[in-house]
Amino acid sequence: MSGRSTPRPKDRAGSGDGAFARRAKVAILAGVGYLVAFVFIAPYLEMALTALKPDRELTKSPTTLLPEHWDFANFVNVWKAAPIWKNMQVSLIVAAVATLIALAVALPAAYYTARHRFRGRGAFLLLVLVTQMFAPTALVIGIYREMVALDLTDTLFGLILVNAAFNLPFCVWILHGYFSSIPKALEEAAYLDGAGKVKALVRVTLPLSLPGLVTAVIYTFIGAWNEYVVALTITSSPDRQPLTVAVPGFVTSYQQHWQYLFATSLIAIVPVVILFVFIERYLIGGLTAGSVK
Amino acid sequence: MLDTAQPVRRTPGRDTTRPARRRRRPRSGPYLLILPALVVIGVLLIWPVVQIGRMSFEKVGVRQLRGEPAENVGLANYRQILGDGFFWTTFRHTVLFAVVAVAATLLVGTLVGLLINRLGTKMSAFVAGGVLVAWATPPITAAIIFSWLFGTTGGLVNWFLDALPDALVGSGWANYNWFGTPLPTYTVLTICVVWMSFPFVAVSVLAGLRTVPRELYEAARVDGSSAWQSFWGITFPLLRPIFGVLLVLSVIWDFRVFTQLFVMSGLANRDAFNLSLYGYSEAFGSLNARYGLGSAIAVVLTLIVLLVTAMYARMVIRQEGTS
Repeated sequence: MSGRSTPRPKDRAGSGDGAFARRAKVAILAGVGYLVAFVFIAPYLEMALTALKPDRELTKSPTTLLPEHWDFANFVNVWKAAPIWKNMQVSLIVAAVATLIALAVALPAAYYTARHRFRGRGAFLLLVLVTQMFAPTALVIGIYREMVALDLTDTLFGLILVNAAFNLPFCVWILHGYFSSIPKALEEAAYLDGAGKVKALVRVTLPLSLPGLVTAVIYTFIGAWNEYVVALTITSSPDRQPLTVAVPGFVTSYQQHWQYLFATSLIAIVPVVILFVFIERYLIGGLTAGSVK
Repeated sequence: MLDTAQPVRRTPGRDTTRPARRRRRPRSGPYLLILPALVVIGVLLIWPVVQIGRMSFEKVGVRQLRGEPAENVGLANYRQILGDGFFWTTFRHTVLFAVVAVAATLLVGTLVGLLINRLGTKMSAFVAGGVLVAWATPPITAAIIFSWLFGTTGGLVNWFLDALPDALVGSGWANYNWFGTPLPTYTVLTICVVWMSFPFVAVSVLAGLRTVPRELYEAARVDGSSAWQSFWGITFPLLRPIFGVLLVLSVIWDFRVFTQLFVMSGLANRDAFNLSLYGYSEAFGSLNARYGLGSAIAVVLTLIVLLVTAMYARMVIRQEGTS
């Protein structure tokens, strides 16, 4: 149990024993840090190593950690083994357009509720708070029925709508939190300088709420990119399925191409990792800022 | 694009009196700004809920779903599931899994959060970044890799357990099937879900810890309190709101886990069903679709989640009021 008491050098610096204990403590902490990091990386590592094995090594018993023959061609062949280029396009389009829609709809609502008191404001926020907890898993039958009724099964548009909708409440909530935290006086100062309402919003408020915007964008994009159950249920043509649905197709009762499965899985993580490199500093804290202040 | 109707109505004279809480006369123009959000929420989130509620009282097959009138069966669907021992088995799986997974997620997440907080700048950024990538990993990918790790072909876990001395872990691990019976299946599921979800807890706890003044801990240490005492005396009370929210969110997320279990044990393995898998299987698992029955199960699941959400809403509203 590592509770937190700040290791300050001064009070124990007198004795050599203390210095040793402190150094040991630092070393142990670093060791545990590496262990945690390893626990995280290990599954990816195993995925990468397996993706590089040739077919015959996959079922070998006992298994080996490293491939005996490094089959880098797997990452090339996988593009030919299935229409995953198409699936990737579907994933990208669905995630990007859903994010745009969610943001375009959430921004005005969040801004207005943060800046103005009006009748129904509390009810609206409560609605947003409650629907934030809705997940496709429990509602998939209703969604399916709606998609059938609107004739949107097996279309990208249907996927886009569902993903935009399920992430909208979170976007409204987090943007509302950020807009509320920005003093109105800043905008009013901009009015005095002759800026119009829209200009004040674009020049003053939006840049200040950038962490919130980034969080909303990333959250929605990743949510849509990772979505599985709705896509599984409402799409049926292989070229209209996102990566999440296409990936498991490499291992069925007819074919077992685990190496392709892992190669595609790794490819599917790439956009997420790229996004993270850009936004990590915004995201830490940003995620809870809307709900915990 | 945004709020173009506003500047006209602004009366600068009144602004100076009470700028923070100016009351605006209700007009329809501004409501247009929240209308799109209301439409999206209403049509795409509330409507499916209403449909599920309605279908749970009907006998709905493929033809009825496509528009033919459905027969109203009253409470028959509910009577059927609540009177069925199998429903209660899935219910028990759902609840037990949520309890264990949430406890483990919060415990591990808090420990890792505390750890990251004590590491150097670079190392903490590295670990925090790494754990967040795990959080953002598609559930389907995580499910696949964990089924592979625990699988009988090429699975490293069995290989490792087999390599350990038999006295420690017993023998015969080489061909152990983790996905044959519910208990081992849920063990793997728990590991997988905790692996994916504690990063969020760790990073949230970390964000909270950075707001706690260091002097508090130093004062506590001067008074001779241990790390354990500092945690329960300082950290926990100060971060209580964060822990509350994390607890509720984790419960909600773990209650409706689907993808991972769907991949690990699938629709064929009924013994290991949880509520969401059971509902899905009734609706989409066979050619003889029973959407009504599936809906009734979904309603039960939704009610539980709503109950927890109500607790969450109370918590958040109380915090909004005090901050």
